[in-house]
Parts: sequence; structure tokens; C-alpha cells
Amino acid sequence: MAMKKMLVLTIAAVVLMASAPAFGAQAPDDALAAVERRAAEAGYAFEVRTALVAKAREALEQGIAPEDVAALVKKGADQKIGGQSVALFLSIAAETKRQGLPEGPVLNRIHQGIAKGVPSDKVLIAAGQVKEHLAAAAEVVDKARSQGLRSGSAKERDRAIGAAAVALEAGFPADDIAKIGGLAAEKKRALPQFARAVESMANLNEAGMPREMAVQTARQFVILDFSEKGMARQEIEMFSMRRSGWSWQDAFTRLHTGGERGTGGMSGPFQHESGAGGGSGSGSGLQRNRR
Amino acid sequence: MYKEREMLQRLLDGELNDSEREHMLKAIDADPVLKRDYEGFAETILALEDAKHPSAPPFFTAEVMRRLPEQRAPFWKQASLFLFRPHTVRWNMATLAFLLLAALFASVFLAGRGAVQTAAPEQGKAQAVMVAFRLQAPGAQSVALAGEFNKWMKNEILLTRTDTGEWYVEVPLRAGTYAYMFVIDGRTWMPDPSADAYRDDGFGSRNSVRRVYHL
Repeated sequence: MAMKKMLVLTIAAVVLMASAPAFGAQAPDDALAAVERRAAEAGYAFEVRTALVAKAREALEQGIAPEDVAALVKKGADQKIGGQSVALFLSIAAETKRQGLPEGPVLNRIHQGIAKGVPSDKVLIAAGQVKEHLAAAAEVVDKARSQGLRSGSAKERDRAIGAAAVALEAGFPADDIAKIGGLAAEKKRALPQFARAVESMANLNEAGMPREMAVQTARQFVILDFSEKGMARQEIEMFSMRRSGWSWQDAFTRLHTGGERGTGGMSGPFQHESGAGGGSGSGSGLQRNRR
Repeated sequence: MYKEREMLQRLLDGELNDSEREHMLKAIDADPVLKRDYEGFAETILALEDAKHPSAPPFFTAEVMRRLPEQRAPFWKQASLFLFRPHTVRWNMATLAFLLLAALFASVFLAGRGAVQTAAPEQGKAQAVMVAFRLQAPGAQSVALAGEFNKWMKNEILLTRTDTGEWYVEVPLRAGTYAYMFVIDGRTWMPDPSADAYRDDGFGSRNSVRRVYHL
């Protein structure tokens, strides 16, 4: 009987150990080994390799995913980037994480710069700018949370910070984003709603909508308590109207009033009923999409 | 006398060896008092062995313990006992299987937390949808797609040439906004002429932008 139990235990342990790597989590030790191997293959000097491994360990200790650390070193080595530069890339990512900011956008900018063959010093500057935007965005997001924005998970906070950082990089003043955050807090909206409103604001502006109008649209989304999908539908509706020849002003006005094309005006609540509505737009009309 | 009493006790308990036993039996025969005591003890033992053994009612021990006056030790002593007193862990195969499953799920959960995040922020918990990318580049030998969704790997997502000279690929993406570019022949970065929008790439150029909705 004891032998049978031992056999079952052994099989279970083997299955457990064998299945762990299949779920994709690279262990920190594996990542460090990969970094050492890639650094050696790249022909980095011993001192550089040592510094690189130390920075990789620091990044892992800060909580950066082992896969990201290994991928960054591999990409740097593949593109013949100096080991010291790669160590600095890891350092700025670790510092971002240490400050409680999402490191994803910084890593994304670094990956992009390396892939496009941008000189390392310029990649570092660009990554530093992303970090600064993230820090400013975190200040706005955390302030709104302290004012009453219904806080979500750490992942949702990271998403909101990322959205605000994109808006900042696109040229939106931090004050405008902070006001949307304050409004969302005052209305007791959820963090993802705020994040999506900011994303809509940036998306609309990126598509050509004047900045002030994009800010007003995001504010209306918050005031009217649109769900994330509701905001997405409004975005699609406005893009559709634009493709149909409407001006941004007319599309914005129609979303506010449901009025005819060219009637002007920017005040009043969005029209809530569904249907074709007026004007020559090809959309399906407006629908307020509460949760 | 005391020594004989002890030997008598051991005789009754069956603890004497043969020579001791023989010696003791002779001593009993020779000593009437000892003989009387021996016979009395032997009869008592036989009577006890023949008597019925009533079984205790269910939860007898627990009930007795419950009726005992409560003696509460101070909190620190209870905590100390809890922490440092050896405990007996009783287990069975079902418990072991449950623990193994729990460990497996925990490892999966932790693996998920450490997973690579390459995509733009997702909207809600939407699943990925297939998104098509097209480029008219009849003279190109190869066209790849690189963007925020694949860490800007320029040799990972390759487009396929169609009969019309158009290059085409479908990529699974979750809802969000993605910056990307095409890479022609492995070296020339080119924006998508039919992108949803364009965005400064931070290096003096402009990326294409694709918005993915999951309604």
C-alpha cells in the first residue's frame, strides 16, 4: 500500500513539474541565464556583461516580466546594440516600474526604436519622455481616484495611466485630462470609464477633431454615464458621419442635439433615443449605452 | 517482604523468566500469607477477564472533556502553543489531489500575471478578433507587419502576396488602439496608406494607427 501511495505521489509531482513551464511563465533564473547567454554570444566585454546581468536582475526584482527582460536583451544583441545601452534600457524600464508606473509603454517605445534602427541615445531620450508622460498621467489618475473615482484593479489603473499618457503625448494639456478626471470623480464614475473617455478623446483628435471639441466630447461621455462600449459606438458613429461628408462641427452638434446637418450649436445633452435621426449621415442613429 | 511482593506482582504480570518463576512458586508454597495473596490476586484477574466489557457511549471522551471545568490559558500562551506545539497532519489521497490541483491553478494564475503585455489597453474583457491588414506593393519581395501587438518584431508577421499584387494578413487583436507599420523587404519602414489615423512615433516619423472595436 505504501509503495502504491509513493508511486501515485511521484507521478503527481512529475506531472505538476512538467506542466508548469507549459503555461508560459519564464522563471527569473531562466531569464537571467538567457541574458548571460545572449550577452556572451553578442561578444560583450566581461564588465559589460556583468553590468547587463546586474541591470536585468534589478529589472526582474522590480517586477518586470522575465519574458520582457529576455526579449529586450535579445533584440538589442540581434541589432548589434552595445551592451551598455541595453543595460540603460533595462534601467529605465526598472525605474519606471519602481515609480509605480506601467512599464509597458516604455518597453514598447524601446522595442520600436531598436527595431527601426534608431540610435540608442535617441531611444533612451524617447523612452525617458514616455516615462515623464506616464508620471504626469499617474498624478492625474491618482488624484481623480483620491477625489472619488471608483477605483479598480492595478491593471485598470495602469490602463488609465497609459491612456492619459497617450493623450499628453498627443498634446492635450494635463489640466484638461485632470478636469475630466475630476468630473468623473464627482459623478462617481468607474476608473475604466474615465480611461475609455480619455482614449476616445485622443482617438477623435487623432482622426482630426479639434482638441477642444474632443475634450468636450469626453466630458459628455462622462456626464451621460456612457459605458465603455457606448463610448466606442459613439466614436464609430462620428467617424462614420465624417466619412459621409459631415464636418466635425456638424457631427459633434448632431451628437449633442440630434439636429440637422449645419444647424450648429454645441450645447444640450446628447440625443438618447435610437433611430436614424436627421441629417445625411449613414450611421444607425444614437443610442445611449448604459451598463 | 517488599521484594517478594514485587516478585509476586511480576509473576502475575508474566514478566518472570523460568528460573525466577520456579523460585517464586516454591516461595509461595512455603509461605501461607504469600500463598493467600497470590490466590486472591489470581482470582481477581480471572474474574476481571471473565467480566463483560461494556463499550463506552458515543462521544464519551468528548462529553467528559466538555463537562470538565474550563481552564483558559492567557492569549499569549494559547498563541504560543498554537505556533510551537507539534501538530499531527492527517491526510488522504483526496486531500493530496486537491492540494496538487490548487498548486497547479496557482502556478497558472501566477504565469498569467507575468505574461507579456504587448497590446494597447483593452476595452473591458473583449476577446480577440481577426483584423485584416492590406498593402498594395507589387514590387516588394516581402512585406511584414510590426507594431505594438508584437513588440515591433519585423520578421514575425509576414503578409502573403495575392494574385493582384496586394499583400494581405489577418491578425488576432483585442479591442484597443494600435500603432504599427509595414516593413518592406526587411528594411524599409512604410506607413499604411489606408490606416485609421497616424501618430507621432517619438522618433520624428509617423506610425499608422488601427482601432479595433469589439462591441
